[in-house]
Amino acid sequence: MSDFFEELERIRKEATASIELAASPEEIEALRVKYLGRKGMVSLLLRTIRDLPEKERPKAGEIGNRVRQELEGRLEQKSSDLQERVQRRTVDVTLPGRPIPRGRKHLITQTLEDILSIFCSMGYKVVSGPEVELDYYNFEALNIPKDHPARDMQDTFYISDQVVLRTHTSPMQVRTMEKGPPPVQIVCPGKVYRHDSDPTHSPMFHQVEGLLVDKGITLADLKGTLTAFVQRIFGASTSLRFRPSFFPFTEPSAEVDIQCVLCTGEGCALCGGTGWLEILGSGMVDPAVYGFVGYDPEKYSGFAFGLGVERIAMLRHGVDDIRLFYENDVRFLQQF
Amino acid sequence: MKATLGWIREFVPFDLEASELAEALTHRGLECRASLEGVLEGVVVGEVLEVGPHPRADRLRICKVRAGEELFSVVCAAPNVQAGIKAPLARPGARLPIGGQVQAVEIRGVSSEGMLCSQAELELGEDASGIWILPDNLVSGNRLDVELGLSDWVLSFELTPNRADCLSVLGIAFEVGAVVDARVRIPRIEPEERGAPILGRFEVEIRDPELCPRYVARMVEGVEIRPSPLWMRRRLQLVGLRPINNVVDVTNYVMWEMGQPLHAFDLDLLEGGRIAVQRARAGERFVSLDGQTRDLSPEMLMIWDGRRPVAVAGVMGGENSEVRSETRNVLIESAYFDPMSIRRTAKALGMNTEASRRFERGVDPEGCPRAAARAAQLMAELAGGWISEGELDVYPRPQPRAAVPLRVSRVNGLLGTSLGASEVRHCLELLSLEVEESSQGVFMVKPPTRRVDLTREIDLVEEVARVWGFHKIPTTLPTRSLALVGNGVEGDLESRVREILVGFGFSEVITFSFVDPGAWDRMGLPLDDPMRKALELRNPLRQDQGIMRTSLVPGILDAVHGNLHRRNSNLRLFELGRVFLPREGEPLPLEPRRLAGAMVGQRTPLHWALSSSPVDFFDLKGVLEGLCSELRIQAVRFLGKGCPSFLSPGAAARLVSGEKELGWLGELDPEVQQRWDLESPVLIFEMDLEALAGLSISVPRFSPLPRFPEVVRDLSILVGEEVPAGQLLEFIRENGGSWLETVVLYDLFQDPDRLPPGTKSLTFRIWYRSQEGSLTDEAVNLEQERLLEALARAYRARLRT
Repeated sequence: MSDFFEELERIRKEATASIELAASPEEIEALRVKYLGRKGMVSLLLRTIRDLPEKERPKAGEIGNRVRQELEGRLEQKSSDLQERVQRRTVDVTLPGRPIPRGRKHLITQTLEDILSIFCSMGYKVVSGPEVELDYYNFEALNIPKDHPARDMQDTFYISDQVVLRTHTSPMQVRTMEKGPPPVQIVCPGKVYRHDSDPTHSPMFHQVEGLLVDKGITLADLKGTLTAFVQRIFGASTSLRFRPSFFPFTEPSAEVDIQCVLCTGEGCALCGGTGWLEILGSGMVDPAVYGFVGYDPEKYSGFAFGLGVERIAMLRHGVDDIRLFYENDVRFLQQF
Repeated sequence: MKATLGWIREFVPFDLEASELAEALTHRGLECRASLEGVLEGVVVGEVLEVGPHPRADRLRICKVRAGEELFSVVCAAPNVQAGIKAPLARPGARLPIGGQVQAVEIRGVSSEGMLCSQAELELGEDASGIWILPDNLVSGNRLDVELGLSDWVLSFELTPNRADCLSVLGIAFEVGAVVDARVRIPRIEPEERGAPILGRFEVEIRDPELCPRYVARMVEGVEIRPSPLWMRRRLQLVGLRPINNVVDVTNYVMWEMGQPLHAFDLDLLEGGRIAVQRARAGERFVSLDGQTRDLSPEMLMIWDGRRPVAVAGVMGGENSEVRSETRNVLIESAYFDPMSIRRTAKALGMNTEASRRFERGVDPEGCPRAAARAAQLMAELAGGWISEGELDVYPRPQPRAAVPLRVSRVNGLLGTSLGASEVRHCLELLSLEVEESSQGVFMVKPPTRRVDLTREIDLVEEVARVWGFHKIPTTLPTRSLALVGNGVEGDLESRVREILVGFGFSEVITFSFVDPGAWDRMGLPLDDPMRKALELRNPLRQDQGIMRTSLVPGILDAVHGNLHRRNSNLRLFELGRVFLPREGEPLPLEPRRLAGAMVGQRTPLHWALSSSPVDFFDLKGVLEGLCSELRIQAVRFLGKGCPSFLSPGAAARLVSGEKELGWLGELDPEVQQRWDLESPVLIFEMDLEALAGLSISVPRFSPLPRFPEVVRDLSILVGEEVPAGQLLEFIRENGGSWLETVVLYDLFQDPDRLPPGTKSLTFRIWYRSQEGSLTDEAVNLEQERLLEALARAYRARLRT
């Protein structure tokens, strides 16, 4: 006798707990079948009433039916709860969400920030200098005298005989060294200007200049620094080469090429079939420049480099016309 | 600079393929590329077997032409075609250098399987009068370019300005010699001097030895002006020079070979039997070889004969003494001119010639006599005639070249290498430099006079690095103390401002620093507006990029215009950059940073859940309030008076904080909008970033969180329409008592039908809180009443009921 009631109570508790946890109409249906179906646990138990002693049968039948009704009621309630919740919460989740307006930094700014953060992590300090510059700083003190063929390397905008739009960020080398003795470790980002305009040349563009002067700095250090930089900006597997070149304010001078980002060295239209792309100029600071700032070239040595921000942005992002940077079409700006 | 492999091989042997050589030279700092030039695809030696009449044209002939084993029937109009001759046959499919592809065609009903070519059609000469009759020993059917050696690999160099010596085939040969470790053979030059001595028959005088340290002259008499032989014309063509005649071609050829520019005068046109080197007279005019009349100035060095200028020294000869077809006697000039003087003259005259390019970079002063002798020898060979005995060599200022010391320790100290003395020595000797060890680890190096770029120790260090190979130099990182640590990029004001505005939906533009001088008129600026005082470019690329900006506004408006033009209609743009403000008595302007921006179009994008309306003044004001709040700039006020004239007076404000002007914002005046051709109204602002930088707080202080609850009250008042809401807010803040924590204006109501005329209703919500304890309703009501009384006194405000 007590077995029946104990079993009934156990099933009731178990079913009640399960119904409470049910989260979908399917689960509720499964529970109904499990407990109240023709072969459900409650139904099967109730069928054992006939095996009970005669006088206990009515009580067992009454309590058994109460339990059945209770569970039915719970299932019903749960089912309608669920239905109501689903109805209350139903939205068309495929409708577009409310947009949060967000602009973009110019691709040049983004590229500049990437470049500068690499050099900052190597201990360089960011400085800036004037864009309208004295001929002295832009040329003379960088070992580019008047009437020297090296002036042809850079077509210049003039304000007056003595004042130009800086053609490179290199004047900051001299301005920085004038301010104090070594060690000097700076990067100088900024706008520069050349009297030139076509799909690959803009009359205004951006450069980052770097300068490190201290005791015992070597061309090997320059190679290491620029290799580290290039592999962080273009990827660790980028191969690069250093080619002797000429800049009036560095000697020895080196042009740095990276393996073509498009054809990875096979040769294509972007690299003109060479497999290499020129990305920056560099070299050991020429002793003549130390002469202008009063550094002792026997005691100190250093390197300088200058890189074109547009060039790097174009190669990293596949931009094929430099003029896009200054047309400021929002369809361009918002791509990056 | 271009050079053919065949030409280089005359001076130095090498086995490298053209592309390998180009790569090796590029790695030595002589950037170059190799290409096979002068190829005549499909042109072969043809043998004319028969010539017969054309049935329907008198002037045309039908020729049977054999090329090797093959027979071709070719229609030909040339008068000189005849059986038995050999001539170039362009087979069907051949591409001619003058352009076009040869095809089998029908000419007046007769098919022609190719074409017999003239020299002109192959761009190998001027002669177009008939077909080119080839030497009989050429093998029929063979490629013409191979038979005549017409094609060759050409190296095209992009030389840096320091390598003047490589503006010559010989100079390049020395670099090739260093690559392959081979000695350069310089051919001996021994002109056969059959003529009378030049001395006594001609004179050279240098009146300006500063600008002309050396002048060598030679004389060749009895020449006959003709086209140069094919080999020379071809070589000149392959390196990009135009063949002219044998005498002129020789001067160009020797210049190309040895780097020494030469000039040939018609000796009989030189008056007075003399050359004088001196400057031009002021105001003089001169007709150069190219037929242009040149205005001379007294800084320019000229070559004179006994009476007049006959050449712009080192730049170009004159028409008055030019070698012509009737020239019989020639004077060869081989001189050294001051590089800077030549450069100034060439620049002033707007001329950039092969000669001036070499002189201004520096030629070898010791090479003048050799070049003159070589030219005389070639002229006698190609133009007949005889060389006068001797030369005139005026050399008032010999420039001795000192030996340069080089320390091996210096080499390694700068390069980061550990080369031994013998390795350093080997590198230098590969370049044919004379090296002597003066003491342990120190060399005295004597560079050849053609290497004008090698004068200092550092120049030699570079040569060692070049020859040793940059790729073999180690790759290290500087070992330095950590004493100097750079400033971070993040966190500086510029990137904070950019981040804030980007978060507000603004995209950054970058516009040119030079703007249109007409911009100020289009903005309707008064004539005395300080913005009009801008730096002018002396040589702008375009008129509308003529001045340096004094405001970012023109650039922003251009960017708006460009976008509206492309149907990008909802715009939020900003720019952060410098403006250029000229200073009295200072050569350089001030370059303060500015921030400007614009809003155009709808407040929100087209969207199912958002209703949209055009942006207005308060959208932009909200942006700037947000910006100032993010930058933690205190007490920013917006004042409606004294705004720029290009804004609508009714919807413009200045931003000030204390006494400091931060900038302005407003609606662009409709007239200015129209003049700028902008379809939509524009909200625009400009701020002084330097002022923001001075006021921005980057490290905010903590204030304790409240411990007691607040009491909230609403206050609706009626005031005169003219009372500015900002003043009321400020007044409430100042007079609301010490418990007043926050006040917000949350309703503004203006309706003449429902309110007394001339009034408006404003509703404020005020939060009161005490730091000492919970506030009672009674206490707050008292505060609120006191505030209302104060408002009534100051603004005649009354409670709206």
